[in-house]
Amino acid sequence: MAETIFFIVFALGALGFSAAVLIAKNPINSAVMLVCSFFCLAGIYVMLSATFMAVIQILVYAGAIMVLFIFVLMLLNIRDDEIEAPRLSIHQGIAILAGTGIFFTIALSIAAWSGSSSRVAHDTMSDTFGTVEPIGDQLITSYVLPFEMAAILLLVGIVGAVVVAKKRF
Amino acid sequence: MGNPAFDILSILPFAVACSFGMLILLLEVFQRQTASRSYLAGIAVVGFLLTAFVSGSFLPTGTARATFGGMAWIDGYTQIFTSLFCLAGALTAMIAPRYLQEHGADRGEFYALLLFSVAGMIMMVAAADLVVFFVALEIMSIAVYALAAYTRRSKLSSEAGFKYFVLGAFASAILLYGIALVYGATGTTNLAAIGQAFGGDVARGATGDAAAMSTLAQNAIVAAARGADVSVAAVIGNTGAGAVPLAILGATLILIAFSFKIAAVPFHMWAPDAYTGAPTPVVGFMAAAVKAAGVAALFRVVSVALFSDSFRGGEYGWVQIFFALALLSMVVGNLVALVQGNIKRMLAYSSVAHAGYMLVAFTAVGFRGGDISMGSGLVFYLFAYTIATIGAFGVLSWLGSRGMPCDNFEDLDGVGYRYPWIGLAMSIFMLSAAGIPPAAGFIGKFLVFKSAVAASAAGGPGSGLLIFLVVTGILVSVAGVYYYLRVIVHLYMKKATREVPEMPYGAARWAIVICAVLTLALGVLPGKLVNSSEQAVGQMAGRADGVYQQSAEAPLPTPGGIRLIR
Repeated sequence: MAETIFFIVFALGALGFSAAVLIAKNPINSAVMLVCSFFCLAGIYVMLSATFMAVIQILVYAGAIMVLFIFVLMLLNIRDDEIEAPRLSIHQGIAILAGTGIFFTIALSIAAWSGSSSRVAHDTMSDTFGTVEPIGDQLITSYVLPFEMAAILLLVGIVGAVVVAKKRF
Repeated sequence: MGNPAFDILSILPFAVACSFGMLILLLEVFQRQTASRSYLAGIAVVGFLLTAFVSGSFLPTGTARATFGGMAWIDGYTQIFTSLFCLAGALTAMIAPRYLQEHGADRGEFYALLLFSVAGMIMMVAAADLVVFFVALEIMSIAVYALAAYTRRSKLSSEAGFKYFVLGAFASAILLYGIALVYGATGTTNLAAIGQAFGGDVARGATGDAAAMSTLAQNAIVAAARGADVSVAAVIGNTGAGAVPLAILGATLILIAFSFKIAAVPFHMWAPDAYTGAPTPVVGFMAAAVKAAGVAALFRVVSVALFSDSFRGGEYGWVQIFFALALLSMVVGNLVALVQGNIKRMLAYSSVAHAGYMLVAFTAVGFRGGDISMGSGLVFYLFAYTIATIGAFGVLSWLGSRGMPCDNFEDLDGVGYRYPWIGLAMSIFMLSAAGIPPAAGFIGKFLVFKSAVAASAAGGPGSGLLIFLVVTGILVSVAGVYYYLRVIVHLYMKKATREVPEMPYGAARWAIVICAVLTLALGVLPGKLVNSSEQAVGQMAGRADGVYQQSAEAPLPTPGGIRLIR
């Protein structure tokens, strides 16, 4: 019972804040709403026993990435009068139609799936499920190859960013 | 739960390419600001050759193996594409120094990024798991985004890099969502396991036979008996009739992301702008190697995961999807290329059309119920296409200098007389792209269309459509001859207007010569490469019905890798 209440709170929170991200006029407000939405998502992760995911969600997304967003927004220094009121063009009309269609396709597929299948029951999970230990264990055993490749990915990202951003050649 | 064997030797090509990338980054640090960096290109070429050598010699041929606990497949298919990517990388590294010096962007990072992106391509093709595939795709993509924006002083280059980056990030997000949905439906990211789930459980669920035990669940039980983890079977229980729409949706999203990477219509919008603005040697690399990597990886993913068993026969419309993509790409690419005045833009649309020809092979494979031997023409096509494309962009970057870019058809006027060898090479590349013998492009096109005709010869519903696809392909490629010949007309039938300054670093010319010779050689004596591409496709590992299905000693795919009970 308590679980359902928490779920409703987090789910509605995530939806509401996400909508607010889109509606808010000031980009800074959008960013703050996004942080709130991330927190609600983290709550849902906790309820799914994915505690490590929840912590990472807050540390990386709500923390590091959002700070970056806000820095960029501050550097761009957009004044209120520069923000134009959104106008509905024919492109946006098509995009809204397509988006709605895709939304219903995905929603119906997920509904069909969740209605029919036997999902993992909670009581089959071990106590350590979703904690750092099994994830770390997986990362250096089964998933060691993608884990090491991610190191190269980060290096490429850094070099690429420096190449694109540095002042002079 | 025993650790999977870490077969370091099997990913040696990836490691060598990455090490050379890092070596170049380190050497760059010790450079004086004004010193020439051209020798770094030499190191990069050595790196590419060593990577290809390692891939070819340290791994016994004809033996496919799954390494790192079923995370990557090292087989003939990986090897042949490793050599193609290394060739593309080496040629680009030879073409680039001159262009970079001309444009005041002579820095070592260029070659490092080139090596990293080739390393990513190698793992993309080798990937046996969608997680590995995604990381590899990102290594390749991010390196190429940076390369596209490399000559940052040029506004066009920045624009190209930015557009490519934003749209590419969007495609990556779609891919990730698709992977997540497929994982949700099948409980695994392993390609072979997805193939089994699609072929067995998911498909059977669709026909109402949900009671049938999935191959996957059986696998999990076998794994459990071996002392691996018992609870996996519980996770596998996910798949059932309800998972079908989710799996299809996920697979469709994955296909969309691939279509973006290979610039197939209607996901080609970024290509013309990115190709026009990016530095010319990079455009050659993007149009050739990145597209080849996308097509090669798509072929692996499709033939292992999506075409397997009952799922592949077109029951859920893969054939139709590839049919539509191929038709649209061929028609739109060729017709829009007709009216372009900018050569780079023309080649961009022509590369869209080439993506269409490649997708004809996918349609044929799908039509024949996933008989992947139909796809061997594709491997040859990719070789022919890659070499000719890099050569063509190599000519454009050799001719173009700062302030006098070689972008429009008029810029080629009279080059055929002023620089006879370069003109001849460019003509060969154009003939190859148009598919005129004796250039390699002809054999490639012939093999691809032949496979489609052979597939339709078996009859059955839709074989008429396949013939329609081939006829349309041939008709639009005849239309395509117009714009390729237009290049040759400008080369030889107009008055010369330009002078190319002498540069000390002449490797670019050698690269162009190598491309031209290879294009001709593959066109005249295609036998050896045709054989090895048939072999490579035949050896593709992980297929449920293939000879090279994972051997007993190779670890079973770890579905999802989730360990619920320890």
